Amino acid sequence: MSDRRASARIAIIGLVIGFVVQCGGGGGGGDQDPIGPPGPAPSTVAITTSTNVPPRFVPVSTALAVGGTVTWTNTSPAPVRHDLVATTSNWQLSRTLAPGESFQTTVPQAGTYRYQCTIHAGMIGTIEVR
Amino acid sequence: MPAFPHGRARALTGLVSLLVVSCGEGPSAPASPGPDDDLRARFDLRPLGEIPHPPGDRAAAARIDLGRLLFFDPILGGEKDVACATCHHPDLAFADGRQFSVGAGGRGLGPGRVASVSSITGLPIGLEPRNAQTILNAAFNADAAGSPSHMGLQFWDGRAGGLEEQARIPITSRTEMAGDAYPAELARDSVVARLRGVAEYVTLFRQAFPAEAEDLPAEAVVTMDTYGRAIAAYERELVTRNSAFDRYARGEDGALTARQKLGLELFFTDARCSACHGGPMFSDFVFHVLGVPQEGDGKDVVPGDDTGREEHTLNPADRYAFRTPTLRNVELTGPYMHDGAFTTLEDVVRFYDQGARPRHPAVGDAHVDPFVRDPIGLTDAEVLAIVDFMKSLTDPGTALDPTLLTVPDSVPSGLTPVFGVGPP
Repeated sequence: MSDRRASARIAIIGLVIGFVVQCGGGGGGGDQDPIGPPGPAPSTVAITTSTNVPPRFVPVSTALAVGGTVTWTNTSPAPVRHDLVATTSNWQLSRTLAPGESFQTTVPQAGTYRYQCTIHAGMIGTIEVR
Repeated sequence: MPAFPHGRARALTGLVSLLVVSCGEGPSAPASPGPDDDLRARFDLRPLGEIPHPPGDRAAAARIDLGRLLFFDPILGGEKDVACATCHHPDLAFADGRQFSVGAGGRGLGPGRVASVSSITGLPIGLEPRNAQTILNAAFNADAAGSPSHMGLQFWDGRAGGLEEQARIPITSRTEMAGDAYPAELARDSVVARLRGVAEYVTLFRQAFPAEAEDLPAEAVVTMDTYGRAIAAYERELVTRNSAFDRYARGEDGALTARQKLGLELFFTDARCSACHGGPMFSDFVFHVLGVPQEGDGKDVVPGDDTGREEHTLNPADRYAFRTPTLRNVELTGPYMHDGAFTTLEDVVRFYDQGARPRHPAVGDAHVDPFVRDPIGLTDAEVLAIVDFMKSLTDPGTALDPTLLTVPDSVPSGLTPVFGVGPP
């Protein structure tokens, strides 16, 4: 094998490994997305649902500015429904999303808000409002 | 370039499909998704995946066989009258069918087993204060990160990470296995010394751990480490994948009855069982506060009570939280909950249907898990449908090597398997 061909093969392998890492291969419940460094949080956040199994919220964790708007969209393939149910007390969130459907709400107070899909155990999400 | 012209390839594909359908293997592959495909997709119904083995330490047959002998050998009991299988017996779906287990000093097996006194001190030995869980499929318990793992959390309070560590704990407990033979701090060394004193065990350990045997002389290969790994190797084989639900998840539409399918739909929607009991193991392996009424003495810290996960973490936020158990084989493993407070599955579903009531007096609405706080409003027929669905998760090992489910005729200690010095 020529050096050039060997280099090309190494580059391809590296590319594949990089792609797998980017895609978060492996999944599981421990793949919490980082909320990010302290600083200004965005005033709008969009959360989707993964198309792979087991389904997950994407991102799993996110930051949001006080008074900001969060929008969930069920991007899982039909006929998969998801629901959004608060697991943080004093937060009213209970909504079912059909495939393709979105739901939007504002979160007026700072704090950590947790929710999950009760249809799919382990499909949990966190919004840090700051 | 394709190996076949398109038309010929299509015909071949059709023939293969027909053969598969004729042989009854796999899904019937309807032209368009049917209602059962819809259920499978909506609720992400999946059978169990690959067994999570410790990296680089997948057990060979010699280690599994050794683990099986240890599992049934009362030499692990301080007073040589109790084995792992006493409370996790294959005839009882690797549980014991009791509200609270009777360990050291007991007589009999399963629901008929009775507590007694230490054969050494004559002192009474009480009941184990928590319900014994099945070992079937425990290999798939999730770790602290929530993924099925060889480090999956074990026990109601998750105090062991992995089957290896789990196996090292009951031998130190007076009520479980140690009796009055030695104090807890000496139990592990005592068990190792006993095993090293049995020539057949030394041989079997050396065969089961050839890498360690290269470096360690004679009986030195018998350690708490190799002991735990051997028992874990056996337990990791106790995986059952042939329940009606598994067959349904694999595409066999007729594996569930109409009522079970109704129960399935309720389980994943209105009843919200799946909020905690989801995924292939029907558990999120998270610690939840349900406020189950306390029965029995409770574990360790507070007499007459059991504060659950807190007893391991010492974190007040974990007070009264217990790990979600698997529902696989739940039909066979009652009574239910950490203290066996409920006798039937119907009792369990009605507890949730009534908003987790009756409730532990110390667990108020602000503390109880929000998913169980409010009444559901199920009809009697719906309760029974959910119970019927849970019974579709039953498979005590119909496709396993029968040897794994059979009490050995003899064990290396020479004691009576399971019963030891007690009457069989």
